[in-house]
Amino acid sequence: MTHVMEVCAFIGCGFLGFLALIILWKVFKGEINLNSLVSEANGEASMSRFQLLIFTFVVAIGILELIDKMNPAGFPPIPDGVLTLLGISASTYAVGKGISYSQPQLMKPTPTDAGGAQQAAQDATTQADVALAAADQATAAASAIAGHVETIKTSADDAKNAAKAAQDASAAAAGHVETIKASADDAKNAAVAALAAAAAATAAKTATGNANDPNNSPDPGTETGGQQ
Amino acid sequence: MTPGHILHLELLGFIYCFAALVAFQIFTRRINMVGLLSQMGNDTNVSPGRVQLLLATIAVSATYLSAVASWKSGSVPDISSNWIHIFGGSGGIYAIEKAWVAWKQSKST
Repeated sequence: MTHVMEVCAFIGCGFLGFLALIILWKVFKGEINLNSLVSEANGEASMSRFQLLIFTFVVAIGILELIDKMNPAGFPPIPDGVLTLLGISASTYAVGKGISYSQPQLMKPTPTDAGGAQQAAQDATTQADVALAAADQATAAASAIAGHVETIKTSADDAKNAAKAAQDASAAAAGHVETIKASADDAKNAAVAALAAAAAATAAKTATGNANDPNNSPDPGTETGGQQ
Repeated sequence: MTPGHILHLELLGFIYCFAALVAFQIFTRRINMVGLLSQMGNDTNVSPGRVQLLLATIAVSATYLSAVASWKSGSVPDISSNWIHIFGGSGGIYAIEKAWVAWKQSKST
C-alpha cells in the first residue's frame, strides 16, 4: 500500500511539473497573454495591481525558500504581520478597483485618447515581436534549405563531372577499338597477300621444276607425289 | 529524493521562472505599464500617491526578502508593526488620492 501511495505521489509531482512547464511555455510564446496583467479596464496600468503582484511573488518566494530549511519539515505558520501586509495590499487593490469602477466614464477605453493609443501601440508591438520571431524562424529554415540546395548542387556537379569523364573514357575506348580493328584488317590483308605470294612462289617453283626435269610426266598425280 | 522534495523544487522553479518571465515581459514592454505612475485618465501628470506607494512597496519587499535571506532558524520571519503602519498609510494615501481624482473628474464632466 505504501508503494502504491509513493507511485501516486510521483505521478502527481510529474503531472504538476508538466502543467507548470506548459503554462510557462505558453506565457513565453505569448499564447497566454499577460499584456493587461496590471492594467485597468481603460488600458492604464494600475499601481495597486502591480503592488499586489510584487507582494504575491515576494511572500511566495520567501515562504517556499524557508519551507525546505525548516526543522521539522512542513508548512510553517504564516506570521500575522505577513498576513496583514497581504491583506492591506489586497484591500488597496479592491478599494482602487471600486473607485475606478464607480466612475464608468473614466474606465471606457477610447481609441482617440492617449491610453487607447498606447494600448494599440502595445498590441502592435506584441504582434510585431511575434512576427519578428516567426521571421527569424523562417530565416533559419531558409538558411537550412539553402545549405541543402548547395549540397545537392555540389553532388549534381560531381555527378556531371563523373558522367563527362565516363563519356571521355568511352570515346577513348571506342577510338582504341577502331584503331585495333584497322590494325587487324591490315594484318588480315597482309596475311592474305602473304598467302597469295606464297602460292605464287610455290606455283613458280613447281613450274621451274617441271621445266628442268626431262622425265617430267604431265600427270598431276605424279607431280604431286614427287613434291611430297 | 522524496515526492515532497520534488514538489518543492517544482514550485520554487515555477515561481522563479514565472517571476523572471513577468520581469522580462515588463522590460520588453509586452506587459502594459503605461500610466503606472500617472493620475487616472491623465497620462501627463505624475501622481505622488502612486509614487509613494511604489516606494513603500519596494521598501517593504526588500525588507522582507532581506529578513528571509538572513533567516537562520525558528519560524517564518515576521514584519515589524512599523512597516505595516507605513504600508497601510501608504495604501490609504493612494486610495484617498484616487478617490479625490475620480470625484474631481466626475464633477468636471
